[in-house]
Amino acid sequence: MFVIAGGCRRPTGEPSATGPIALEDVSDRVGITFRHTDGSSGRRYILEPMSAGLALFDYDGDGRIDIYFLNGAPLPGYESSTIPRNALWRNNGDGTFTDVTEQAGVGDTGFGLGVVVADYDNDGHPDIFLNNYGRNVLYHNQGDGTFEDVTEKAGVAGRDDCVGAGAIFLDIEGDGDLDLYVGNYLSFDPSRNVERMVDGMRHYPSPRDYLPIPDSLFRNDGDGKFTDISMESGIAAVAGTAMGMIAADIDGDGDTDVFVLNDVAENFLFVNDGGGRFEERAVEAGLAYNAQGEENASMGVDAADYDHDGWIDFYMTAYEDELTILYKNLGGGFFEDVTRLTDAGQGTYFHVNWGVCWADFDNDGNPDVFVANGHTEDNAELRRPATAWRVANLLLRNTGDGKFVDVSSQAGSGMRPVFASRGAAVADLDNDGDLDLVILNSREAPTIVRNDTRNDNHWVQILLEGKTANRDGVGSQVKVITGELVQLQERHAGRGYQSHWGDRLHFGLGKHTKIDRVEVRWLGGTTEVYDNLPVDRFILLRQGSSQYEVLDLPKGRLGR
Amino acid sequence: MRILAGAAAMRSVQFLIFHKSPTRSLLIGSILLITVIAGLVGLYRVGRFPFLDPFLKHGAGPTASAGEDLRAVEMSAELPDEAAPVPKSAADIREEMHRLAAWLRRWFPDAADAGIIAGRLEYHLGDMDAAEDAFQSVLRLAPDNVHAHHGLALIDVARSRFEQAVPHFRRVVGLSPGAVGPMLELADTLIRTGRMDEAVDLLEKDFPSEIESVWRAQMLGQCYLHRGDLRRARMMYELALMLQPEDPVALTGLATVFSRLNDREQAAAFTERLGRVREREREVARQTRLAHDDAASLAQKLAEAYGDAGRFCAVQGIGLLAERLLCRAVALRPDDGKAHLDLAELYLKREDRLNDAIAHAEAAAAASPGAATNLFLARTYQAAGRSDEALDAARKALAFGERWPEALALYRQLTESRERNGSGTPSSTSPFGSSERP
Repeated sequence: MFVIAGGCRRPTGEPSATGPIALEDVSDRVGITFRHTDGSSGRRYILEPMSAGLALFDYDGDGRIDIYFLNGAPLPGYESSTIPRNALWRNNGDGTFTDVTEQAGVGDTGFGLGVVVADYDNDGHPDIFLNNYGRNVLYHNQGDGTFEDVTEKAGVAGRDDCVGAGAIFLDIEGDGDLDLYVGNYLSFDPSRNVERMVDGMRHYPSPRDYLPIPDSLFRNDGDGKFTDISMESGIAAVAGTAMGMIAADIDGDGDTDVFVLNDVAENFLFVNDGGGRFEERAVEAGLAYNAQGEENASMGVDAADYDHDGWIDFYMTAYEDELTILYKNLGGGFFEDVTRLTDAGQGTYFHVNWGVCWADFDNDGNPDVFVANGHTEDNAELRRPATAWRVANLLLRNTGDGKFVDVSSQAGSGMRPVFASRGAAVADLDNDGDLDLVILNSREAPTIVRNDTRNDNHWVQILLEGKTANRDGVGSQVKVITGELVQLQERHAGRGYQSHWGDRLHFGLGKHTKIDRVEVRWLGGTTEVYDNLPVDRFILLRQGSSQYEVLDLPKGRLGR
Repeated sequence: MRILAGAAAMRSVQFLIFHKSPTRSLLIGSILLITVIAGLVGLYRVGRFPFLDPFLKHGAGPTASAGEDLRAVEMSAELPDEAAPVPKSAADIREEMHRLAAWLRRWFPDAADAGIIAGRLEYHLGDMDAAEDAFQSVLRLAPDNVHAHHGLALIDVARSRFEQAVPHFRRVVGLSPGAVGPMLELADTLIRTGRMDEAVDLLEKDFPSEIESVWRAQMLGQCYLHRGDLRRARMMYELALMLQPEDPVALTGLATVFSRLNDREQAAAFTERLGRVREREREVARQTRLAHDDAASLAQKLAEAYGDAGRFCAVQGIGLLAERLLCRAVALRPDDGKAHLDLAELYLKREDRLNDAIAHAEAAAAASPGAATNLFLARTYQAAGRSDEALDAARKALAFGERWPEALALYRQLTESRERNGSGTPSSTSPFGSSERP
């Protein structure tokens, strides 16, 4: 069997960043000892390499973003003296994190794949949904730093044979509470494992070796319970092999649509009729395939208006021998694969890509792209020297003129770790006004990256609080106008590769020293406008209030 | 001429010999191989390799100097000998591919053709850096080597370096006038770099009007869709669909076009049709995966490389090596008609190996039935004095309709000779008796 050696971190003494974005690897300075396991033993069950995503959110309302890592679980043949579990790491604000999994009661031991966080019951506290292989889990946040497993009560446990994928909270009919979309990868039984050999070496099977299954949609009944409406909503009309997914208003009609990536199959775009009934229209919209009309092994997806034309675009990761894809929204819900036209796929072709985040790392007003890399096969390099099980990640800087430039090698130690990365998420972990990174690495410790970019650019982070809209403001769109620069973002719950982040909307503002206007289009309701806002602040916008509130969040550190 | 399988065939060219698909590899490998052979034969015929004459006319061994023989023996020692078992596992085959590439680069550092073969092997092995290095070395020796430019262009494409691929593709197009494959590849690369207008010009103005290609229609559809010219995009996708009725790219394009035209009904109809096509594709892919044998596809690539290397050595006048390499090709792939034919050609020049020549010529004709193999078989039989069998093979050669004058001339020569010698009584000088051409 192929011997797995440890991944590598930056050797000491290497030069720091030389480019416009500076990222520092602080993994060994934050006190996080979590280590991921995929439950593998060499039998190559198809779900092993799919684990897992992670979530960045403030679970205890202390103004600091905490980290929740998913973990795999023992599969037949796996032997270990300890039982792997998910882990919640509390942000201490002094640069370190503390494992609070036990106290919080969120140490699920199921085989974790996807996670999403949102306040589904509008009580002001973020709840967690886990999309596992087997029983899914809904943790209700009790507001005192602890969670209660309410899965059965809520009716969202799912099927035992189902391998999970991404999951998203969204308000499908704009009624003010959040419904739950659960991606299903495929139906799996270890006793019927498909074995594959490629180039004489054991290889994971393809999702095409299994039957695809439809995803699930649960309507929030408003009383803590959910009802499975997969059939009547139109979601179950098609079967796929779901991976990452995201909800967004792609056609500007004020409701939330769902973009689901499928592994080695066409993607799905579920267009919402506004009342919670969906029609799958990915082919017509131009989102099913790449520019050449080919299916991809699609992985993770994130949304942003990268070119400031007022429409939400998508960036999607894919498999080896495929380019990642930048789908530009042409308006009205029609998309074009502009990967080649924008150079947004450079550096991705040979590797398997997973996590993806749009994030304005240098606060210049143009969202950049981070891509997490790593192969599914731990012996990939034996078959093909161009790639490997462990691969460095990728950072593409948005130059603002419709092009992207690979700045990975100039971005410092944060881009040098070489692991088999999976989920990735961004958030301002030290509340210093720039976006930091957390990356879950398969079978190894995570990578924590501090953003050390130094420039004169400004920023703003906006938190939403819905009233008639759901309290988190999920599905609402925020437009920030500074001079000529008009930026649009939507509040998502669940994105990237089966992960969650972005409870605060982060806008880089470039040299602008004031914000002329902020417009919030609340999901299912009104549009509210705020003028003359300060920069370099955390701002809370409450639905129905004409005043904004500047929050005094505690400044912190990231890494000792 | 219609290229009904245009998209698949041209995309095979795009991925050259390097992609994993055995069909693509076989097709492209064959095209390139034929081009190489034709080029080399052409050069020889126009007298560019006069030093080969003695060898090719009188056989390999006897003409080589004692020094050359020693060198050939030294070189061949690093190759698997005739008794060496054929590698069965993919890992062993890959190992032998590595060894062959290294051997070619070690012993023929100044030979462009050897560099090309080594570069292809490196690419099959997935070592892009080594492949690029090999093709660059070839260009230093022969700046206009079309295969090196092509290889480099495809490496650039595979690495998403489309801008860098464009000049290489342009050179390929320039060096291969009339060849539509490189033109389509260039257009595809231009599209990938966003140079839609240049791609449209190339496909509309420069592309031979008599050739109908699915890939061309797909690309034009894509360009017009990008420009927002839905009318032309629709026309092009419909043309692609006419050439290839279930082309998924055309179906996708038409669904998009009608969707943008707000014709939901038509869009839905094409989407539904596409769904059925994709479903069938998936089932075929699933069955293909079930039957896929990595070792077999790798062995085929290795055999092709041995065949190329054998032909290269034959042209270099190193008969000993040519024989060893071609024998290895045949051992790896017993149905390799070209390798059998080349071996037959080698043996035909050696009186003591006439029976081997016949055996390989028969194997070539069986593996690749055609005018060329049967003509050669006829000549081999003729050399061995087996006139009945020679006549029979010549008749078969005529039946294929290619190289008709050559086949007919041989047939007449054989029948006349037979009549002169009284060794038989052909019913007529018509090869078909009834004067009916099949």
